[in-house]
Amino acid sequence: MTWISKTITVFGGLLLAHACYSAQEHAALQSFKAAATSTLTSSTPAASSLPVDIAIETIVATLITVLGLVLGTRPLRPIQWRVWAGKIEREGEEGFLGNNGEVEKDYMGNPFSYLESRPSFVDIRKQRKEFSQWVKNGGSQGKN
Amino acid sequence: MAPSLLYNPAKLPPSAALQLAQQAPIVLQQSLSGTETVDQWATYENLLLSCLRTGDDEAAAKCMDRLEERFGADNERVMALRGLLSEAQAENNGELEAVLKQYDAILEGNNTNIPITKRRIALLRSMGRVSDAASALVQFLDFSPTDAEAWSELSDLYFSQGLYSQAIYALEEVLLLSPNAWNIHARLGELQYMAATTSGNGGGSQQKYLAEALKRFARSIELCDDYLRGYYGLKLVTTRLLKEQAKQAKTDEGEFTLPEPRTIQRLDELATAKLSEIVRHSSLKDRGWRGYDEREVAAARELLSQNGIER
Amino acid sequence: MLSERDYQISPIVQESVMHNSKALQNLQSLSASLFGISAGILGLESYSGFLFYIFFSLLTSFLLYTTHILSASSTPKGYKENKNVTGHKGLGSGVTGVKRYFRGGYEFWFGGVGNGFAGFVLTWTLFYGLVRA
Repeated sequence: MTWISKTITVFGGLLLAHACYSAQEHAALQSFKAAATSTLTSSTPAASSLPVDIAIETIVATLITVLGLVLGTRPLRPIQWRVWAGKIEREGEEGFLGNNGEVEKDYMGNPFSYLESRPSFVDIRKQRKEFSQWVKNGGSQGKN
Repeated sequence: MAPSLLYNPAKLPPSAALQLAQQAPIVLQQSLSGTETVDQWATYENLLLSCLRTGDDEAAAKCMDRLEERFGADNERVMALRGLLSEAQAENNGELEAVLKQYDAILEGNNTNIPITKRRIALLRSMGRVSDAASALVQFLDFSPTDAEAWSELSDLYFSQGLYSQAIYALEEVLLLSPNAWNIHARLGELQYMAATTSGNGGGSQQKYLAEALKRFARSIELCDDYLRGYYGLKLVTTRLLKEQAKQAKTDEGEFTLPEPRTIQRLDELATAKLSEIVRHSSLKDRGWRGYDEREVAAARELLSQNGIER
Repeated sequence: MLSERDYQISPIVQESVMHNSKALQNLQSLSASLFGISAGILGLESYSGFLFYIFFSLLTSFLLYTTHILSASSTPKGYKENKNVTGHKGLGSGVTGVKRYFRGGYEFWFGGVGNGFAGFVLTWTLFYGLVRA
C-alpha cells in the first residue's frame, strides 16, 4: 500500500517540477522577447499568460500529488469508545495496520488487559509448572 | 499473527510463549552499543519473562544482566525482576523463604518500593500463604489506594478463596479507578454470576446478584461493540433469569430491581443473535472478524448449541 | 450538543482523536504547500489564487473522505443486514461517516482551509517570484 502512494506522490512531484521549469523557461523567453522587441514598440505586452499545456500539466500534477498524499495518510481510528473498543475486540491487530501493512507502533490492544493479567503479580513458578506440563502433554494443542 | 515481544507475555498461551523465548538468541546477539530505543528495554523485559516461563534460565540471566547494566541494580523495577529470577530458580521451600527474607530486607530499608512489595505479595500467594498475602495486599492498598492492578489482584485472591462479596467489592474499586474498562465490567459480571450460582437458592441474594450481573454485562457491551465475552455472559444470565421466572412467581421485594420479563426476553434474543453472528463470521474467518480468541469462540458455539437443544 | 452525562455513558477515546487530527493536519499542511506551488506556477493573483486554494482544499477533504471514511465504514461486510434481521436498533448500530472519526464535520471539511493557509501563502509568493524572475 505504501509504495503505491509513494510512487504516485513522487510521479506527481516530478511532473510538477517539470511544469515549474517549463513555466520559468517560458517566462524567461517572454522577457527576452520583450527586451528584443522593446526597441521597436515601447509598450511591452508584459508576461503573457502561461501556455495552456503548462497550465494543464501543473493542475494534473497537483491532482496526482494530492491523491498520493491522501492515499499515504494513515488510517483513521474511531473515536467513539464503543466503536473503538469493538474494533479492538473484533479485528484485533489486523484493524490497526498502518499503510505499510505492519501493526502501528502505538497500538496496544485492550489498554485494560493488564488489569486481568496483572504482570507485577505474576506467579512465575506456577507458569513454569504449567509450561512443563504443556510440554509433557505433547505441546501442540492450543497452538494458534 | 506472531506474538510481539513489545507486549507483556503474561496472558499468552504456552505455544506463543515458546515462540517468544525462541527469539532469545537473535535478540541477545545484537550488541548493546548503538542507539537505544524505547522498545529495546521492553523487549528485554518481556523476553526475560518468556524465557523464565519456558525454563530457559541462561537466556533469562543474560537479559537480566543487560537490564541491570543499563538501569543499575538498585532500580526498583530491576530489583523486582531480579527477585522474579531467583523465585523461578528456587528449588525448594527453603530457598523461597530466603527470597522472601530478601524482599523483607529490601522493604525494611525502603518500604515505598512498590514493585518489590507486589513481588512479595505474589510470592506469598504462590507459597500458599494466601491469608498473609491478602493482609499484605490490604496493607499495601491502604498505602496506595489508587493502584487498580492491586485491587484487581485482591479481587482475584478473594475469589480464589470463594469470598465472592469481597471479590466483587474489590473489583468495584477497580471500576472506580478505570470506569471504561470493558473487560473489568465483564469480569465483575462473571463474578456476580458465579456468586449467584453458588449462593444456593437463598432467593433474595441470588436474584440480586443476577440483576447486578445483568447490568454489568450490559454495560460492558455498551462500552464495546460486539464484545464476545459480554454477550456470552449476557446470554448466560438471561437464560437463567428466564428459567427462574418460569419456575417461580415474581418475588420482587427488596432493594434490587429486575428488569421487566419482556426486556430480559429481548436481551436474550439480542445476545443469541449477536453470538451466532460472531461465531459464524469468525469461524468463516471473515475479514474484520479475526480478533477473537479461538477458545472463546468455541465456548460460545458450545453455549449456542446447548441452548439449541434445550429449546 | 452532548452533555457531560452523555460523555460518561459513551466516552470519547482521546488518543484516537489526537491520532486522527494529527493525520489530518499533516495532510492539510503538506497539501496546502503543494497548492501554493501550483498557484505560483500558474501565476495566479489575488482572488483567483484564494479561490484556487479553497477549491483544492475542499477537494483534498473530499478525496480523504472517499478513501478513508467511506471505505472504512462499509466494513465489515454483512454487518448492517444483520441489524435489520434482528430488528434491534440502537445498540451497536455503527456510527458512520465523519462522526466516526471526528467530533464534528466542520473540523474535517473546513479545518484544512485555516490550517494550511500560512503555508499556502508562503509557497505561493515564493514560486510566483521564482517563476517570474
